[in-house]
Amino acid sequence: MEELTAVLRYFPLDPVTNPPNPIRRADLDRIARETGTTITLAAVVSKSRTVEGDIIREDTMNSAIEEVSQDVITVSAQDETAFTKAVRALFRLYRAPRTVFGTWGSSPGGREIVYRLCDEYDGWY
Amino acid sequence: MKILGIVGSCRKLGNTEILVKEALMAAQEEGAEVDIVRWTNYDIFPCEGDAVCMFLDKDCKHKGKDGHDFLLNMMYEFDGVVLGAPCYILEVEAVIKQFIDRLFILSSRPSKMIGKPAAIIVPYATRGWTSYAFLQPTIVLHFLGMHVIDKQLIHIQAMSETAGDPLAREKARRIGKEVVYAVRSGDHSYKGDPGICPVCHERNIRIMSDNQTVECGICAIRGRLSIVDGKIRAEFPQEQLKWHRFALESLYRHSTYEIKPSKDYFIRKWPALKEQRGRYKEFLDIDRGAKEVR
Repeated sequence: MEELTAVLRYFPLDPVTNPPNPIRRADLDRIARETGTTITLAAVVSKSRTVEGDIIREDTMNSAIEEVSQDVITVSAQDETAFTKAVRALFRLYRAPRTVFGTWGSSPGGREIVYRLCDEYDGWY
Repeated sequence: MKILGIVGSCRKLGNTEILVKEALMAAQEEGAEVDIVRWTNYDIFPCEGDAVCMFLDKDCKHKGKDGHDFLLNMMYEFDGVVLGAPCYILEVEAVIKQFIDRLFILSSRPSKMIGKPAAIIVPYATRGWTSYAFLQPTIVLHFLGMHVIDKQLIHIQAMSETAGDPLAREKARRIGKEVVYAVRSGDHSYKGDPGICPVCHERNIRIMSDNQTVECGICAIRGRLSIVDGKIRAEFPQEQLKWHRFALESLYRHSTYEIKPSKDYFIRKWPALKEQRGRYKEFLDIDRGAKEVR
């Protein structure tokens, strides 16, 4: 059976469009435990990024998607039901990624489920 | 101080033109230098969405071939704007939307209207047919970074009827004076109907799919509705107001994290898509006869 993988990329948008809850390792561990999936978190900080108060500056024009500043949540599971439950729980907590490339790196099967779950809440809520 | 009147209506000496001119007359009496332009006199070709203005930092392919660049640069010479457009089928005339779509160019060439005041005048004929009358005018001015200080709907029916309507003319005059005052004083506080959204003052609130959250579709601020003393109240957290869609930092982050990285996405996807799209090329000729008809 194909391992399902969802790569969910949350970029540093404004607080209104950012996940309404901060991404916390403890929440991810809980969801992984409850659903029987593997969930990892990686923070990417671009070398070109500067932060001064509310002002973020970063040159992303010629950056690879993976090199842009972001929090990356990766969900993996063999079982579709478990995988679906985990992604749904993450979307309830953090909303879905906003862009098409926000799921770049997902497996084809994982991406299909992620897209279906995005549509459950109007793609964004 | 220079105030520009923008008329988004084809009709010569129609109500929109008269009302904008009335506003400019009042502005002139207050000491402003005024000018006027009719956007519908200019072609504004549709944005083709290839984003070369952003990704390749090139001029828009339509620059010099239509009026968009000219009209945008003309605005930049003014300190304040009175924008008028007639409401037809729920919304104002399409020229405003055509202008908005080409504002993608601002992602590489920032607006020079940031922080300048503007006001909107929308004449209309039938009550109940104005649901989105201020939508496009509000978007265009906010997208340019302007502060909208007033919006007026003016109920009028016959061609040029405002010329003989003291009430309509007075509303327009007030708009003209308000823009002059705003430029002069720096006080850009909103003078019109407060509406529901505390940012754009519109009343077009979306109820989100969770059936709990409401959003101003223009500003993207989210909050909750409640009923207090039998009246609907919309409450938006203070943080939301600061980070509305058209706040400069919000626009910067949208461009930086949601648009620009898509260049890499396109580049990676293109080899496969180039082949996959081939099957649609031969299926039906979508452009047949279009040139002859046009």
